[in-house]
Amino acid sequence: MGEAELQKVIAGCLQHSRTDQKMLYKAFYGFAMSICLRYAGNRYEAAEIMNQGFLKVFTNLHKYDTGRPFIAWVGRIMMNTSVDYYRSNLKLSLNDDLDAAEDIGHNDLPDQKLNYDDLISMVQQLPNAYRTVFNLFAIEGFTHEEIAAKLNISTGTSKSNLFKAREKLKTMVLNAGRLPDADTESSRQNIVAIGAISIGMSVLIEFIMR
Amino acid sequence: MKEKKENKLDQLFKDGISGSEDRIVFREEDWASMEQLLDGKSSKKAGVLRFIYYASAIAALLLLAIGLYFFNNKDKATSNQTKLYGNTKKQPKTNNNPVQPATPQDTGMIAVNKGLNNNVTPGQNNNPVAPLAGNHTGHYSPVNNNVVVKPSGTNTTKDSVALYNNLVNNTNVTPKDKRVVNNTNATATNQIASAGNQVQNGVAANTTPDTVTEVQQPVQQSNKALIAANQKFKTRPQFSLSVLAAPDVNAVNSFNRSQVGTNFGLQLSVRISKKFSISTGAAYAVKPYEAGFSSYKAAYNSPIDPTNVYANCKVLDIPLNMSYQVYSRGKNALALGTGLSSYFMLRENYRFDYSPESGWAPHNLEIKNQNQHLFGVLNVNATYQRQINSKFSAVVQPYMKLPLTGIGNGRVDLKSTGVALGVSWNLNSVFKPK
Repeated sequence: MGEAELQKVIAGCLQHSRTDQKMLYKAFYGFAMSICLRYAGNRYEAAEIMNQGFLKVFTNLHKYDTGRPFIAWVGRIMMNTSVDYYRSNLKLSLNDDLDAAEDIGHNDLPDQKLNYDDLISMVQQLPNAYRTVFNLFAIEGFTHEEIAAKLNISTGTSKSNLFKAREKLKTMVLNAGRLPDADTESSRQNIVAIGAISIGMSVLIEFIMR
Repeated sequence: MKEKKENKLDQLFKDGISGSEDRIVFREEDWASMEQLLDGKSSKKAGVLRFIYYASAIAALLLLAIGLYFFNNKDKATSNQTKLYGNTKKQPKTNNNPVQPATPQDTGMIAVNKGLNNNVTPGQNNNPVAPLAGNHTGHYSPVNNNVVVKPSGTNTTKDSVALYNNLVNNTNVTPKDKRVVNNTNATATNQIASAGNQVQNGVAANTTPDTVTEVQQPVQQSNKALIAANQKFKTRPQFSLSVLAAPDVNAVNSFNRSQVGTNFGLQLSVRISKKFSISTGAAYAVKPYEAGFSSYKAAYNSPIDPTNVYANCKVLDIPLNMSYQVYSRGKNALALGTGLSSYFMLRENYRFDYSPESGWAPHNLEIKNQNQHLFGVLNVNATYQRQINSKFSAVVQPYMKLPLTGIGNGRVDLKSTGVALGVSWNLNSVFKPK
């Protein structure tokens, strides 16, 4: 979307035009989703967060400073919405040797390339608290002090959560050849569900035949 | 910003994850829920209105289902089921009606025409309608229009009466063109029910000067029939259709002499708010049970009382339930529900066993379509739903059915409990505008 077109669509959104809202939504969908996906535990939560974020975008559009890039504004809203979404369970912490966190994953990591889907699913498997800190630190590039202030936790908690996140991610990366656990679990649940349904269906069919 | 001792792991993820926007495919259902968010923000009131509309629609559906049952009072339970299925499928469409009346009144000719064109299904003869709109120039053109409509082949004799009326009206009063357009449209679109109305409208329009609102009447009625097209719900609640099958345990009085029966059916759920949903449907149930004769209230007195009653009842169960979602996270949702069921006893087979001393042989009794228990059974259930993909969810529903009246010929206190398993199909994903 070009700059002029974007301004037109924003103007339309300010008039509560549903078509313009959809255009804006569609235009920034991929961008917003890419942020929410790595903060969220799964696609559904990501979509929920993203929609809440877009609601903020639409309702606060008049506050948007046109001098700044719109995409950055949207990105910040998405990030903040994601952080808010998991705020209630961010306090997870432990008191290990925090300085060791810096070394985790620095060495002994295979030089392999993992694709986006693998990486995002690894991040999504992290507990909310770890994932949020890891995102803010490793991807967004905030310091522990900034993260602590943002999340209203101590820097120690922030460091410790990063440490745990890296530890878990490293294990996952090293085991990337194998299926991640959560995946097998969900497919097992699918199998159970399908099995239950087919049993139900066969009972039904048997009953009809009788 | 951060101490630049770049971590290899961080780098791996940062590089791998960034620049991924283009890989993410837009999903229409996300926008659908976005629209709901936007609408929910703008109009809380509309939600209440919608609730009333949907509640009444469900009530109507229920009546229709019951009516159909009585109309079709054969012991073809399965065919009943399929018909009910048909009804339930129509349900989301009928819900369009409430939206329609909300469109502005006295819109005049153009708006009326627009409404009509929107609603006419593609297969029907709307072609003659379009030229109609443009042709209103001279005094006698309405007559021509009617002539155009007639060969569309849809007119019953009643319709042609209506048309005749229009003809008469038109020749009498020329400036009332709008009415003519509407009436002819209504006939052209095969509106069966409103033939009489059209005549009335024609007359009414003839006598009263403010025709526009009255003229909308047949338009709205044709909406009811021509449900297919207007699927653009601005604010739509979640509809889902579930197929459920359940083994259940039936017992009279207490569960220590219980027998296992089968249950299967369809259920249509409408989520009317974030937490509440209403569901109805139809289920065919086989309920075998065993009871001591004391709990069986026989209509006749035999010289010797049987010792035991074995029963097997085929029941059509039409529930109307309301449920409240207590938990929802990610793909999983848990809801608690309650409501009332109507039992239609399609066939009841009883076998009365007598004590060996009496020397009486067991006696059989078969009853068909004798007993109906309208809202005679209390339902209590919990529903666990797990989303499989955007269209389907797996449903596990433990339930209990507690009679408020005596069930069947023997007026027994027939309780059932079981676990229904099934698949729920999110209808919104089907009716979504492309």
